[in-house]
Amino acid sequence: MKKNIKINEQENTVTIEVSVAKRNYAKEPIISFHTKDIALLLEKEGIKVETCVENDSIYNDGRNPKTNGKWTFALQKEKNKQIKKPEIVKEEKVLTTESKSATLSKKPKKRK
Amino acid sequence: MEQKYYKIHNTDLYIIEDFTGEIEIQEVIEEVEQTVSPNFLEGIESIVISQYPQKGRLLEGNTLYIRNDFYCEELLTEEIILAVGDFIYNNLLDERKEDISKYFLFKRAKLFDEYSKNYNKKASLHEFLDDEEDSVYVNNLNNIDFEDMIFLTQKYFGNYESSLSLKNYVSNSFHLYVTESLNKKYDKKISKLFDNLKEEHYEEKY
Repeated sequence: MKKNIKINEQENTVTIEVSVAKRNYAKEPIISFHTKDIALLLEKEGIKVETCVENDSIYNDGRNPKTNGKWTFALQKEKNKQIKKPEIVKEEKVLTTESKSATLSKKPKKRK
Repeated sequence: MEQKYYKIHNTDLYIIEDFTGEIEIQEVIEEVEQTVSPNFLEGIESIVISQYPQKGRLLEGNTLYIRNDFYCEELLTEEIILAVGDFIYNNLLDERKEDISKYFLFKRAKLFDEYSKNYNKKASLHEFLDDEEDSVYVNNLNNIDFEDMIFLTQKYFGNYESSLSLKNYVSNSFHLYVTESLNKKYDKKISKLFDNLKEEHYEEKY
């Protein structure tokens, strides 16, 4: 497994590119890396992350293995404030019609 | 913001605080509805999206609390399915829980076998035989190369997180089950558990 980690202090993010070797023989282990594995890998490298901004997954198995992947995570900030349990106003029938959430942030995302 | 209200099958979904990233919630709802059959959500009253809890997800009574710091629909879908898996674990009959616990510990023993043989690390079997999350097990795994650790846990548990506790094993296996990624060779018993749960709900209904 090869990895390349880049920290962007201005955007408070970390980008990691990981590649695994293709399997050539049946005796070689099958392995895949998903977002949680990569977050764990960063933790082992001493980098604490909060949430995944750009998602990916890689695997060395099958006819068309995907052996290179790129993930971007937001770096962990200091959290002091206590989060309170939200209060819900129970709704009866009317569902929200707008499907898209109103957000300010427009970070790039990658979907498979 | 004003709370938003949707349904996932018959379960209420409340978005109390907007997502940190740009999430198309309808896409997530459709994906969850297509992947998880309605009977697995029976008994879950609401799913609440907000900044609560501080970390991870939380099940309180019949309500699932999921954090709003998501940027990718795929990861939010996974989190909702894992939360449904937590609910399944919490509602398992003691007898079934015990049965799955034995199976979980059997897998941990198999993992220990391979760990001690292939990596020549000093550890004893009892350090691997706990179905609650335990730092001794984690520390032992951390003694080997990262790739080997991921390989070993994937081989026996599907993924690393699943190997950490019985609760994680049930919820992660549920995710693998509904996404048809369970390893048929290693996960017969847990597949059967979910098949039976599906079957029982079906029989109760019809």
